[in-house]
Amino acid sequence: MNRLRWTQILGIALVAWTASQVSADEEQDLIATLQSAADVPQKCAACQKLRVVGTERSVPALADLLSQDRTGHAARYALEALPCPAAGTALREAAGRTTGSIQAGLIDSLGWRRDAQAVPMLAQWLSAADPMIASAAAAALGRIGNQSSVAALSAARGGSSSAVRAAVLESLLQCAEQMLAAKDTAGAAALYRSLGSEDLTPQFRVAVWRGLALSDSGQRIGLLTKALTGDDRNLRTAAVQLVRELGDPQVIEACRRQWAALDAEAQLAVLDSHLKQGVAALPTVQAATESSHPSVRVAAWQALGGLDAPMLIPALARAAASGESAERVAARETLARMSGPAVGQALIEELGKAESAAKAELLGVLGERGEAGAVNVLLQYAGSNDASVRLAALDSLRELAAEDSIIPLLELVGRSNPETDLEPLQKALSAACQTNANKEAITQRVVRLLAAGPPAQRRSMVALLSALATPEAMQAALAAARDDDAELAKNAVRTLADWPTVAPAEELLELAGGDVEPSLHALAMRAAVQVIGRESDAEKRIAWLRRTLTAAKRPDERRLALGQLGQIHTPVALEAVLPYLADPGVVNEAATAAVGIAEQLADADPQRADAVAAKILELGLGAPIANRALALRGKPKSGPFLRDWLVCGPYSQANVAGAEALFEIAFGPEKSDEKVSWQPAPEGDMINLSGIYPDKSSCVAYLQTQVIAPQECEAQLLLGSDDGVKAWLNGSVVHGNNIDRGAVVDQDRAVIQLKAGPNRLLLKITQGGGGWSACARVVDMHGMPIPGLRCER
Amino acid sequence: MQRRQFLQATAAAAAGFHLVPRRVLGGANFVAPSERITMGFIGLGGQGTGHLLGGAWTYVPGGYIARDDVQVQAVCDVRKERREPVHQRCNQIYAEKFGQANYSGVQAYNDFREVLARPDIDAVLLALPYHWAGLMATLALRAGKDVYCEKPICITVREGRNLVETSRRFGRIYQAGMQQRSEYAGKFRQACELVRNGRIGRLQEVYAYRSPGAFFPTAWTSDASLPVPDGFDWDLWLGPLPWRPYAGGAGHALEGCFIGDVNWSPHHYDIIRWTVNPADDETFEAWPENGVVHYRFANGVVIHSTGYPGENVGPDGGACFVGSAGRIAVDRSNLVSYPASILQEPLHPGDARVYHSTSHSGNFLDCIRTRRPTIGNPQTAVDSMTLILVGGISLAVGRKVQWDPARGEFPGDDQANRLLSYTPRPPWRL
Repeated sequence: MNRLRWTQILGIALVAWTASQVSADEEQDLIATLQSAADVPQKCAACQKLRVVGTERSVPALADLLSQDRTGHAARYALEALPCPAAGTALREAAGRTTGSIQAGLIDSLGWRRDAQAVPMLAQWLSAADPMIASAAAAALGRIGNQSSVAALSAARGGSSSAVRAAVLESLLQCAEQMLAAKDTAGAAALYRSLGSEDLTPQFRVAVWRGLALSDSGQRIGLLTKALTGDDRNLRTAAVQLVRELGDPQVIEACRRQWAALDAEAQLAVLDSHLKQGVAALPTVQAATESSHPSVRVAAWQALGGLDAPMLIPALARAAASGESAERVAARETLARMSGPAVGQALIEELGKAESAAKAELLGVLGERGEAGAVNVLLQYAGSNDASVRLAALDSLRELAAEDSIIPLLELVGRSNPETDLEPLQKALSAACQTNANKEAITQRVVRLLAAGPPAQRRSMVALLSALATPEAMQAALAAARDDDAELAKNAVRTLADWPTVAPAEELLELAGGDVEPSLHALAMRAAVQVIGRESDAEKRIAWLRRTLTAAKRPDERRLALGQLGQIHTPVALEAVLPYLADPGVVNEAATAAVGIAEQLADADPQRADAVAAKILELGLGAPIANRALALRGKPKSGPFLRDWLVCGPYSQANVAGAEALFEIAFGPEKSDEKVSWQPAPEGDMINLSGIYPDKSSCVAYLQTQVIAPQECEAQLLLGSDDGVKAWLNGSVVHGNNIDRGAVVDQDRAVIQLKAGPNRLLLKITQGGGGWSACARVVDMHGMPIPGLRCER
Repeated sequence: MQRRQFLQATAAAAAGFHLVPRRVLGGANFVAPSERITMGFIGLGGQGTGHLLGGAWTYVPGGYIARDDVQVQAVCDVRKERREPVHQRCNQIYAEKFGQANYSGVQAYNDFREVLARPDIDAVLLALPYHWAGLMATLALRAGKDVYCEKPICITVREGRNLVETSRRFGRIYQAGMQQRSEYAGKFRQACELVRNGRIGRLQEVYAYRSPGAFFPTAWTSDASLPVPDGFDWDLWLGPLPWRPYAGGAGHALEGCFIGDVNWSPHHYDIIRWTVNPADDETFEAWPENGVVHYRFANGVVIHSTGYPGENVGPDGGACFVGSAGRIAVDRSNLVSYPASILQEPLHPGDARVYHSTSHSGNFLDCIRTRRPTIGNPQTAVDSMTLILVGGISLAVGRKVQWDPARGEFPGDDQANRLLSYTPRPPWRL
């Protein structure tokens, strides 16, 4: 794949010569070129311009070229577009005195010009010995499409070769279409009918049949139903398509009468066409729900979602509960999105009659629909002895998150199966608690449950506290966090981490700072950072994070806080981060945070951003951070390109297509044991690999040079490539960008360490298709040229 | 999946036609040979082989050849070096799949006309140089094949119109390779539906990130010459273009044949047209300004061929839609809105939906069976391409042009109308 950015660039450049800039006076110069001894490309280029700006004045000069091989094509290109009658005359005259492909082209142009004066000549050429001429004449007559054309084409129907017969037939089809467009349906139908009597290839049989069905409304239904129920696969397929295209109520009705005899595709076409008429489609949908074709039944269940058809809800519910798998899914999806109060009631009624698996399906649908009136029914099934029914009911109660489900659900906690039910119960309760208005009262009940329950129950239900988030709930969670039951304590800290406000931050930091086991300490620190993130005041959040950094015992804890500081784009946050650039355990995270903040501050405070970038660059960190820092230091100044390269390639691998797929495949130059045949590449800033290896795609080439450095130094390698690029310096990979793109100078940067003297630089450039090129520069860390640096092949 | 997401997904699914792949219903993956869609693949460069065999870039996992409902019958390319390895690989894959060591059911062709002449091939996939797309698709439709064709679909307005007429005449299914309507996790569809449903208020401006383009040769031919590589049918590659000696440049296009961009712009402008959703007969104007093309539709929406200032989302096949109450930017990797709340609120049950497809190749194959229009049907694809070509013509003439879609021309603008077509080299003709 190739984005051909060059095409775009070229296109914009070409605006320099646009058609409008060729004035009428310049037409004479173009004519003079045609009449001069200029070479073929020059004359053709003049024709190309005259296509746009030429007038009747150009016709004689263009006409003189028409019978010549290459310039003839260019002259015809110009003349075909000139609206003046003289151009038509010139084309006709030339067509009469030429042969072969030149004549065929001229005939084609006469057709596109709809040149009625050419009809007698064209009619004559229908019987030409050269099939190319006869076919071109037929096509031209089809485009002209007047009565004389039809007569000539009709007379030529028994043409000699299959190519000519096909061209004549298609032209007659075209003439019939023009009659149809002009509302001459009788004429069109008669023409189609006459064509239908021939022994036709399948595609023409279909085309003629389509035309007849479209033009003859009296026969349409008969044609369609016969084709739909007949044995001719091509016509059946065409009829299915036409049923869809027409959407004709009479056709639909006729097809419905033949319903049982239709195949699946035909039934689907009828169903879809009828559905465009809305609720009137109900009888078809009902018939479709009982179709012998599973695909039609599925479509019918889906269709009900868009119709107001409450009477079919029981059938849908039954299909959702007990149909074949695809039907069940379709029915369930439809039930979930159907509107109207009757749906919920019908589902509830169906529940009473359904078997276990069906009950679970229907209970699930109640939740998906958000049926608030079904809470009591769901609660009833939440106490079922059947696990699948019970869990489906609990899941739907979670979806509904109804306030009045809380007390009954809390009562279920004590009776529940700790192995299977506690988690879904807790989730249903959490959802309901979050929406509850009277959180204090519920908190009291939850706290009592936590105080009295068995361990498994306490460990699970402690999660409810963050959903309530009342002061009493927080005290209960903090108490649980210091409980002797280690699992309960950890879950309590987890629920504190989910607290919707910053309220537990202080206590979490205290907990982390206390004498607790390491895993609880880590959890508490993580929870503290998490809730601190909910503080909306940036200054306060920074203060919290400073405290967290101080309290942190391990690098990973400091990393969490630095990560958050990096999200606060203020100078104060930056100041809080910078000291940690000196901390080897978190230097990468500190640098990432600092560069992130500096990027945001750069517009308002470029000096500060530059200073931070310089500091980060001094640390010699990895390429991603260094590149961002370099970008902050401003664009590199102009510097010399590496112009002297050796090249080898192209390399490809069987069945591997595309630039990106080839990127990681190692070819000769990447292997120490393989002999590689290097050749000098043409010198240049941008090395055009397409010029060296024309017309290649899905391959790679390598470029190699020696960068001679005056002394050991750190530098930037700036690369541009079409498509991807991988770079090695002295045998080590220093950069990789697996991408499909056009080349732009300095697209990629890599920080490199040059040794004094020669440094071997190897580039791998991938090629998907189209443009293929690369360029490279080496500059110092400030983007300036390095004095004395040069390259040699 | 949360209830809200579930409802959103199901509602979207219901917005389209009914489509139930046979393999889903049968239980087993086996598809009887008589029910497989037989296909030929013409053009075996990166894009063509990606479709056929799969690969790193492709959105067709394993390629068409891995599908149980497709039988590859023919592969075709004018380059032997491309044709032969793919031919061998296809037969090898089927040999392994069917347990027939000497399987040779896939045939290789240099000349696509031999593929089109085979009555046992239902459909062809075309991945071609730009100048062949519209013409070969038309020839394939004329031969009774259903067609998947890679962009740029057509290089002149005349080619596009002819493509639409031919597909109608022969009742064929056609899918344009504007796969962003189906792929990339539905991001483009979501952006389209949000904008169409007024989530950014009244749509005012669109930033396209790409220049439109058109066929507009700076030189009609040249005399530069190199030896034609062995196994390369240069004359057939050149096809309808003016003859010239082989000079090395035979990739996606010949250098200097086009103004602007017709290669990637179809992705951008197709999504834009899908979203702007102008009436079929809605006129628009296009004009260049310092190399940037601007469009204005009759309903007031303005399109710019540049990026939205400061917006990083969009260059990869996308666009930025600016409305009176916010904006949405989308590309293959990202969908963002300003304010963010626009994306957080799902579509409502009553909101307008667009054609829903989650697999572009799957949509093509399903439509071959069901005969419903594809998501990239000829009229839709040609309308998008015409938008591009009109912009390209404004670049070529260097001034404002007015386009009347109902008449298919620039009213009263003889100069611009002359750029609506070109003359193919015989024996090729539309």
